[in-house]
Amino acid sequence: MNEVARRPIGRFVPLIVFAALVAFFVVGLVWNQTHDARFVPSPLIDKPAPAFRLPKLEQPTQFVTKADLLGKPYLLNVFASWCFACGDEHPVLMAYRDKFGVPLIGYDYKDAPQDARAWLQRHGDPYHEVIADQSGDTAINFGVYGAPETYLIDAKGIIRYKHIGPLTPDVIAKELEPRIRELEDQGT
Amino acid sequence: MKRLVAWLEPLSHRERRREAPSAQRWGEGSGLNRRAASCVPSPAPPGHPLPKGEGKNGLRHMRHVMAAVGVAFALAFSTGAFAIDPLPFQSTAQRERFQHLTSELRCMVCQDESLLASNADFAKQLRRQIFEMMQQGKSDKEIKDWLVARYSTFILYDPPLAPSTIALWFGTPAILLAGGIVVVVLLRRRTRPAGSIAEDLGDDW
Repeated sequence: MNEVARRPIGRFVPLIVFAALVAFFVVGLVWNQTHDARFVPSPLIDKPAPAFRLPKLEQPTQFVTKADLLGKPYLLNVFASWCFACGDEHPVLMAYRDKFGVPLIGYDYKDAPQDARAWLQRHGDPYHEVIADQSGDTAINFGVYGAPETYLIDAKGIIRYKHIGPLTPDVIAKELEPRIRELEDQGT
Repeated sequence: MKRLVAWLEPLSHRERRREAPSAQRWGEGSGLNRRAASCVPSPAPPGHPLPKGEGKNGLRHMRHVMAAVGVAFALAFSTGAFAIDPLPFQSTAQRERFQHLTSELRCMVCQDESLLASNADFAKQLRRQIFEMMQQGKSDKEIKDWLVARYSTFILYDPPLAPSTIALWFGTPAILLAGGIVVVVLLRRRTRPAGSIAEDLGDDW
């Protein structure tokens, strides 16, 4: 009679196991659709940006440091003249440079300065300032592993957000602008 | 095969980029194409004299044979091949330590390759950084922590035990255990004394 009590439930065990498996696969499929494995979340979010000292692209004898940029939030956009996706992103930056409400700093990544200058001359320069990291050593401290990448850094030099890959109007509206507004509201 | 190609062709991405200005980082298969293109056996240098008694076809045939022999040799010696950088190691032990460490680290750009095997610019740069840190006497753990602080634990091929990786570490054993329990329960039911078997008919799933 123990058997009798157990039987109706036992009958459904395979179905439950099957349903659990299906649930696993569905979650896996949805996850793969919505997450690009190339985009690895940065461990530096909400941590201080690394200290840096890099020459300006246009005046290589002048240097910009992290301290110079403290006091107001800014966007740091990693780009390079050799980077294909940066070309896709470029018109978006041109369109939004004055709408962000914060300075857009270009970070020329592992590039020959003359190539970068020519690229900006040909396509237009969306940046308020461009700093050049020819060796890419500083970029490692930022956790850069490809271009384009965009960092939102607040007035205290904390990295608040990182986007890997080209910025699109959609990403800007959904991810970037709310965070910029938030910083403005906090006054940091 | 990737390893072999990287070994055969230690030319850096940057140099190749100069040859092909359209070289890109994201999204394109151009890296592979360029690699393949530069692996095509080069033709004999201009003015290379034809061996006596060899017609053009004979020479072409011989070239094929030589190419095949070359490939066979390359394959024979390719075990453990890696992208070569001219790094001045102090000792064989240090080189082996370097190779072991970089083989446990992921190249963030070509994510299925280790830092040791990858020929990407990113991997080259990190190899150089790791080499320099080793010269400064940093331990493997210090180097790994340094990388994890910048690139997250994703850069480690061996995931650490953390709340986010519990399912990864114990999920498979848990499923195996559950399956084992089901099998044991089913087997016990089937080997019950003959008297109860009749009762059980119809309950078979």
